[in-house]
Amino acid sequence: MSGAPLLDISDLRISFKSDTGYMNAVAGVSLSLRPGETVGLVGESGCGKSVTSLSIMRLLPKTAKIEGSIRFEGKDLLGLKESEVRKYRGNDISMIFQEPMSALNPVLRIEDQISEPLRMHRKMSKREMHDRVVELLRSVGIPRPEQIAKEYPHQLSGGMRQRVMIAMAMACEPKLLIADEPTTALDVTVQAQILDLLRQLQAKNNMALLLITHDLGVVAEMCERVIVMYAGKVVEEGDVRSVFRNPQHPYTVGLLNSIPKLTGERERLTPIKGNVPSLANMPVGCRFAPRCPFAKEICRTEHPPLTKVAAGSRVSCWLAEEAVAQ
Amino acid sequence: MNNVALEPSLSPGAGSVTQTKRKFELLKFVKRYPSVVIGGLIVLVMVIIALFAPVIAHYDPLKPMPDGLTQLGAPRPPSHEYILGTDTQGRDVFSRVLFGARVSLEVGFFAGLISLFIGALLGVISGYFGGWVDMVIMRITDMVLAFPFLLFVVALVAALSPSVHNVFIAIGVFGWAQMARIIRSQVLSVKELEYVQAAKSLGASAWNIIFVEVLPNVVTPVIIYLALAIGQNIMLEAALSFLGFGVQPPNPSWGNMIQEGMGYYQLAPWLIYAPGISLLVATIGFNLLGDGLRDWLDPKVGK
Amino acid sequence: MTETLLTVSNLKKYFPIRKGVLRRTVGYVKAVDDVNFTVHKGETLGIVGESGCGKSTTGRSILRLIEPTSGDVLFQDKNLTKLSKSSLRHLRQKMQIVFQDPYASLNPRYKVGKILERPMQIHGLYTPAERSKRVRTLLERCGLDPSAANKYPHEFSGGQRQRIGIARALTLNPSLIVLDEPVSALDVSVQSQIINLLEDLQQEFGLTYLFIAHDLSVVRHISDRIAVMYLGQMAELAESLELFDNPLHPYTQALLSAIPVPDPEVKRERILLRGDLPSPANPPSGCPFHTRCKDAMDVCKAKKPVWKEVKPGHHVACHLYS
Repeated sequence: MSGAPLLDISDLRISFKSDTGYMNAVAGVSLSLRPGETVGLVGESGCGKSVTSLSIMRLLPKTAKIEGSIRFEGKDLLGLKESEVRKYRGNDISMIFQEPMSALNPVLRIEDQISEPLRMHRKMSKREMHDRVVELLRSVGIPRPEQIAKEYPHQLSGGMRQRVMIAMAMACEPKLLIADEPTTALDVTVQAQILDLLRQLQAKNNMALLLITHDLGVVAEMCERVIVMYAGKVVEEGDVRSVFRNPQHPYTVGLLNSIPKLTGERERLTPIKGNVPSLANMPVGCRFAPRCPFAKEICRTEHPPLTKVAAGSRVSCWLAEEAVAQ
Repeated sequence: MNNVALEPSLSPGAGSVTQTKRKFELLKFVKRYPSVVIGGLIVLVMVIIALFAPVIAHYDPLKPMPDGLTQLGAPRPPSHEYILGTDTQGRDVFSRVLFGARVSLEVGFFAGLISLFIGALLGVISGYFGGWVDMVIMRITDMVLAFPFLLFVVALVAALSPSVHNVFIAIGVFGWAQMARIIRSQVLSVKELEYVQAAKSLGASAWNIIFVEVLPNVVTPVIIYLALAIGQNIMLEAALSFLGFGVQPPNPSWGNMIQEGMGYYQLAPWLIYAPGISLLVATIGFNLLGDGLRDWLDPKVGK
Repeated sequence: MTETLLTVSNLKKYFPIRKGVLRRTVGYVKAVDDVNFTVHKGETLGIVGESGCGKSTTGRSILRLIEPTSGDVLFQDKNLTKLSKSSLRHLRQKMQIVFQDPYASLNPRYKVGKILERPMQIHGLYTPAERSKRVRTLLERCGLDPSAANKYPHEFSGGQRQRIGIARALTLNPSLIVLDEPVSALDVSVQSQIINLLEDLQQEFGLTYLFIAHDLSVVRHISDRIAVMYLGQMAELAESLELFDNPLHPYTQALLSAIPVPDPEVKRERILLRGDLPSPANPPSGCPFHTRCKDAMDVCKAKKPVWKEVKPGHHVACHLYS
């Protein structure tokens, strides 16, 4: 359990300038990852999970205002110059995205795409580079790697493209892989293949994986720990078993109740009422309060702190706060 | 964060804004879309000039002034009396430029409307119905586009006898092809949208869908293109009049004014500069307006 | 006692592949290839399958939003594929569709009130006053404030727009609604609201649903029976719980085993499919699934399996069961 964290984000705040002022996309997020660990970052659209991941890679547009700290192996990434950031990107930290087609350059051959990070971060001869590319393609389960290396992205299926993306991300054997909805655009049988691949690669390279998804099923299968975000804030964090067995935050409870079961009798779903608040008009107090069936007076006026409720699990809810106090 | 719709100020219900806020928004708009503002102002000024030419002009554009020529019979240079000088027949150049704006706008606008009408009709039919209809219409369009446009217009005007009306009819009749293509491509993309499918599933007829669902959504690109086309048509009218196929003397048009002034370039350069610069400004105005409208209204062009 | 509302037989939709300057047809994408099923009055039939399996094309061909290549669709004793354009337009009142994308399915230029009144206008139903009253009633029934009628679609969230889309489908009192991935674009918490709404409306108005989706847990939840499609063909059809408890077709087995279960304590045996989905322009001979099937036999390459009822109400197209 101990050991220095690989990635340590504390009190991250990200806002974007708009016509009406600043919009708070991420409002004080703290999280950490140990080497080799798989953490799921879940939440619905607009909860800030993707923005958080992009900020780790320093890929946000210049108009974004970022506060707080993102430490990778103890070094604050936010303080680095652009040229120093480039040494990390694609090298120690890689990222894969939801839409493999738009993340690949359509006019470059697969080989040229994958050798891009190698060219940037490793000194290699042409021959070595080619061998490495073929080896990478083989390691992500692409058949006929010699031949596929010469093809263009549009010649491949969605699942194959995502494999190429993964090969590219794995080129420099990163210590941390950020996967932003890596299987959302894929069919369920292809998703199973890709998740299986990610698991294998992770075990082989002892790589940490930050898996960003809205699919609780994927989290349950892949992750050791899970962080649940809602409207730019972390609402609950803990190891996967306890969060799924015994969710503390009403939002997590609501999410779990919203998904239809795969076994047993079919029961009526119990949805969370209302809609996700928009960035432009966030409720004061707990951001979930307007949709929360248990909301009390204090929930509407003050935001609850993220409190430790058990070893390794934290919840941001006044109800849990009370339970701990008693 | 994509859900925070950055709708252009088309959104309704933005009525109750205070005076200062409105001023602030106007300033921001000017800063963001300068070409709409500049182009729009130029076009506005031109429209006002064309409408009120008889009021603004001090002199008759067709009648030689008694003191319009120097004792040697040469045109008078710009002076307090004749702001832009006089021409070889002693007529006031300023008045002629004003009335020339009328011709230019008239031709530009009506030719644009004619090509819009033909182009919209054919483009919509072609795009919405597809199949062999589309095939035939598009091949005709290709043919029209492949022909030397100016030559054709010249031939048509010559056949019909030169006049303002015939100029805009000729330009309009041959200028629809580009419009038809633009509208067709718009219709093609709109008709695949689910709300068009939804209307179809509700039992709406093809023409009902075209008028209610499709056309309102192709208006924006059409307006943009219309602005650009008017600029082009103004240029064409000038070229035709310059060649003697357009507006006939003594009626003023920027094109025939330049033609008349050509021989006196060294003696009286204002004869060319006055209509030439007007022509330039007018064309730039419409082009700026068209480009600016595209930036403003068409979300596909990056902001 | 179960009354049949819709019978689809031998439905085919081939999209021609055209090449060259002369646009000659060089082949066909067999998006829907000989599909047969019936839908009972008041039930929900789910159609599942992965992208490119033809489930959406099936739904749209039934409504003739896409003209089917051949086959018959019997709806309320009328053969839709033989109907003239005008009588089809008239019959559309009784069969509606709700689309996946709540952003693209509402015309951004019109207020919600106008969007919902339009279907009634098209068919000349009700007086203007009745129409606007009906719009407000339906909006309220679909969980929106009646004042929504005065707003534009962009003022609503995805879930709210989908409610508007559902209200629009209800304006004409249909008996069949094709739901084409109605909740796929929505967030989980909103998705369940819409599913509950659909269930309530079905009860209240006696609706029949054809529910097309790729999310198997949602389909299991809402459907009475489920049809599984693969490469334009029917692989299996059974009662919902029966299909999940006792899948017969090897493809269904693989598909079901691939669903990630939102329970970290459940560890399941997963059947990983080999390779990629073959192109529907060039489908494998015999059984379309034989290239990836763990149980493939020689006969599977040669002969197309017959669509057969192997247990009461449980149909499958697989040589293992013939």
